[in-house]
Amino acid sequence: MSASPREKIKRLAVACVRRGSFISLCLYVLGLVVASLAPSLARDVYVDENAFLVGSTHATFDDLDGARADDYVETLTKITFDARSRARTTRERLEWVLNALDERGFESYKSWLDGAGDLFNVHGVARAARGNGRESMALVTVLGDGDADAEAATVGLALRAFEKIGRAPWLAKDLMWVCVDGSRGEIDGTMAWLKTYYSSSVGDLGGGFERAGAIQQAFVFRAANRGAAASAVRVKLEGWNGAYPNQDIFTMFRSIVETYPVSMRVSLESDVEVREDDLSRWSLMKSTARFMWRAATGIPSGAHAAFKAHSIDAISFEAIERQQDAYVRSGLRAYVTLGQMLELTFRACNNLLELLHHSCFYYILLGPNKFLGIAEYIAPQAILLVSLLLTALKMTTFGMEDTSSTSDGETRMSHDWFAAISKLSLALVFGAIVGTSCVSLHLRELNHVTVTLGTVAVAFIAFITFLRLTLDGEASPVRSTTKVCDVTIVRQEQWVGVKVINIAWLLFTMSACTFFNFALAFLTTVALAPACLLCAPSGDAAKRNRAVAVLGALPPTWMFVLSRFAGSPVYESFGLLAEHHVRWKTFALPVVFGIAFPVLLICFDVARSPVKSKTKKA
Amino acid sequence: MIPIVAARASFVEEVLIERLRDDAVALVFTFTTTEHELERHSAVMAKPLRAVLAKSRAETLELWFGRGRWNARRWGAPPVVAKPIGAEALGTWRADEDAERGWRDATTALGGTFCASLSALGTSTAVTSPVLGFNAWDGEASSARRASDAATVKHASLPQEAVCVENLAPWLKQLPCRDRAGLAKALKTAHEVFSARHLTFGVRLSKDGDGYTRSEQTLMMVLPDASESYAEIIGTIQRVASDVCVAADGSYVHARDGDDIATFNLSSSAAFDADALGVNHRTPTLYVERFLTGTGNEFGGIVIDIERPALESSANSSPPIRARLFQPLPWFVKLYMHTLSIELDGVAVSREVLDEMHFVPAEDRVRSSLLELQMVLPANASMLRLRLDFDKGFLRAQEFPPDANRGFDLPPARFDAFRVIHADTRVPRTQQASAFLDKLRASSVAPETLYMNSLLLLLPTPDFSMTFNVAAMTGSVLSILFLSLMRAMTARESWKDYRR
Repeated sequence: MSASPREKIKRLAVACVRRGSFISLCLYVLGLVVASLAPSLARDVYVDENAFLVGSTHATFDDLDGARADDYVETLTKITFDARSRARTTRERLEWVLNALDERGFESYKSWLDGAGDLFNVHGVARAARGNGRESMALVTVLGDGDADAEAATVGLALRAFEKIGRAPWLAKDLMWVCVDGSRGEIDGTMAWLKTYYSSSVGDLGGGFERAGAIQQAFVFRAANRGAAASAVRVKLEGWNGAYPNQDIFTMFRSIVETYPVSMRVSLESDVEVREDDLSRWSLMKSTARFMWRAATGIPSGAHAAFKAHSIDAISFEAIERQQDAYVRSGLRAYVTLGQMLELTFRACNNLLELLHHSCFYYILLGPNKFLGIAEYIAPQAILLVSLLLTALKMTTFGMEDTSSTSDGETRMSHDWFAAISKLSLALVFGAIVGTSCVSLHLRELNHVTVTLGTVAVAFIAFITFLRLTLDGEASPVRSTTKVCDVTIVRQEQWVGVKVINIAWLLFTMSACTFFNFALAFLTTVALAPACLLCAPSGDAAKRNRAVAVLGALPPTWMFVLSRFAGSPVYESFGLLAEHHVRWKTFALPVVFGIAFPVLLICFDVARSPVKSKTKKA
Repeated sequence: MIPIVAARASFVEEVLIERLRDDAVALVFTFTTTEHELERHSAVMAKPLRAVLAKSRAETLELWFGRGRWNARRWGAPPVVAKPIGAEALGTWRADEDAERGWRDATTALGGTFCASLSALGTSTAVTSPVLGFNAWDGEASSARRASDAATVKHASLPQEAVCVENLAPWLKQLPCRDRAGLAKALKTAHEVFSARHLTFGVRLSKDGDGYTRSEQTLMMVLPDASESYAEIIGTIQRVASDVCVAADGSYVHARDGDDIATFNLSSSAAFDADALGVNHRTPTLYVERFLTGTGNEFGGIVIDIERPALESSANSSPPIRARLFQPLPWFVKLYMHTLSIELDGVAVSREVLDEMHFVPAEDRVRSSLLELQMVLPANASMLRLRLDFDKGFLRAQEFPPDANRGFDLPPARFDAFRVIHADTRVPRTQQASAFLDKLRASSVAPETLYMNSLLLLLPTPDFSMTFNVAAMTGSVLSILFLSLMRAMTARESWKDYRR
């Protein structure tokens, strides 16, 4: 009698699970292959939100406006020479902005940075003549953290663009220009302004602090280092912990910049040598890797991140001057082009009736022209997670051998879950101790090398202590079988349960992390999954030592590889990690000490577990 | 002398011209129609307006449309109340039992007449019944309540209503000469009217004790004085003498220059020069601002700032100001009254500064909340800040409007400042008399009504494409279940032998 389809499916599933270890390894390799092939699935970027009406309007920012901007820049540059110090220059420039806005009939306000002495931000509001005041857009410029000439060019051009756009008859949303004091970092300055904007505390300096409804989009602008020059525009998208703005805000901006009358290249890279028009496979893969690395580090790349933290779509962009570009605009031409870029960008956003919601927030950009959506990039991670799941299922259901059914009847596995969870908890405690030590050492203002060495020392002590505490040796329950009512219960050795719990912990954390920071989750899964899948005890002492040696070599290898990728010395790695965590509250440090370190400890524990091949009959 | 109250049906059309700061000019058109209710045929009053008042059995009915903002800090106090963005309806009834039915009838009829979505105002979630608001207050704590016993007030607003030519055209249609003659001819070209920086127009219908029904149609617009629209409108007004509305008992132009108002009778071809007017700036009694705090999807806060103008607050002894706040909020803004905090010039004070408070809590999908506060801004205090926290309600998918990701417009808050009348209170001086001028004079001593800026609240919005995902998954599951069931029901044991 032939089996029914249901039976066939069941048998296939059972067979897959029974051979879970082997299939898991195959799936892991397949996941890596799919990841390497993912760039082939990349699609051309496009503007999904039709309401932008990109290309349907013309720019009115002309040579006269460029000349005005040039005058403003000149005035601001003089302030630099007259002032005695950098902080003073920034303050005086901000005061100049405040007065300039007031003289031109715009509302202007000053607000303190949180408890930061005499630092303050300035913002102006251009009320749309026929607007309803419910929505607004923000133009942000930063002073005090970069080249003084570039800042003068940024503010001068921004003021002229603000005047032009603020008085435009088409303006339907209010326009705000926020001039941030970036002496303590552009993100902190912007965050302080946003906190004042969204809280009821009075952060003003006596002149009031007026708002302009719900901020719908924000753009942070910087001119090139030389000031009046531009050949391309670099866009920064990264927010905290790999959070990105809606893809449409980037595609809209890219579309405006790359078409007439702006007609410049867009770049996502800090390295000016990278050519975004190189669409070769290798180039796309490198671009993908760099994009994922930026996301995985979790470090925000510009002041736009503060807006993203307040659920506002925002990007930062700066004019750059590159040798590889055929045409470098300079002087008045640069001001006109950049002014047109600002005008067309705000006009496109002015046309929007709703928040950006057509396109997605989960994407990987392979340069400015290609992207992978979540549907494409999630596949390799899903395959890796399934490989973990399969091994966990196999070991839970069948233990170490294929003994699911015997001629005598059904066989069930029994595991010591309590011991396994206890070990994982202990490993997590040690991970927390090492992580806290790392941060504490950094907070004591030690240098990065000392922090790294100190953390390694603490980690080593934690490792030894963990192994000592979990040294159960002969006390570990051996494999035994019990028969109850035709059901054979096979009690598995302790390490089986420990391995399953270890895999489950990695599976759970990485599944959750995938939706918060895909890049970090993918890299962590790729690094830890082989150790989790392959670690197993051996009766052969030589094999066991080899396994322990390989596991011991993993952390330094990762440190070396990641340091090379980050471009920092390996002996400063934990110092930098702690610094980034304290500064940006990134996920990287919790992942290293809350997931990677405990998982490796458990892998060590599994690898050195005693194996008893003899089965006792109860 | 202009006849103020006609013994028979009358129609008077007037326009007030007032030059403001920022090279702007305010034009206030008023068309007043009076007719006795016993008159069988309406000679001048539009039948739909007369009918709606009669059918709804209301004492007064008001419908207003607003577009653009009145910039009080730059333009000062408006000549007439500048209405908020969107639509607002208000009605008063003598008897409670008439109010429910009458409100529904009135909103339906007015919505149809003026092409507005007023049917949405008939629902219980939109309408509020003010207890303190829209009533006089002589300073006694309970006076407003006593006054409110006399009449039942119903109020509702549609902040998201897109006011356009579709509303203006029927508004003009209610005039005896429509937009073909008289002052209304200046409003004929819609794009000129809608190019205004601020636009308020509406109608107030009322009955007086003598059996007369009165309809006041008012339109206020603020135009740049260098604009083509302004030149065109002023040109049309100056040519009215040659194209008067035959139904009009009078067509007047009032030009305000400081505290003086010069009146010109257009029927007698009196010339006036709008360009010769000086800039007027009447500082409002108070400035009011409203803004939202918080950015998450769960919680938020609403802050209302009441600020005394700088000149007055710098004076040695600024007088106390009695004020009243009327703030309705939709049910999905769940206010926590225990979080109400009051600050006077940055210092937290107890609720004793409040003279009286009336709060109707919201009920999910049944009733919106209503907060009414009666307070006194103490002498020499320059700023009062009210702060309240709220939870954001979760809406069902079908409760979102088509533009769900835009956010939700919160209804405007109304603020009445009851001024203390001094001997030197500035009252407009004029040698003429008319209903409109009487109203202007009265507004100098009556409570100053301000509407606060509108707000957009962002609520957690679902991904509506998920509906299709759910439909696809549910369909797949159901089809598998159905096919399995069919197979189980139709399978026969004997078939297995054949299959083998």
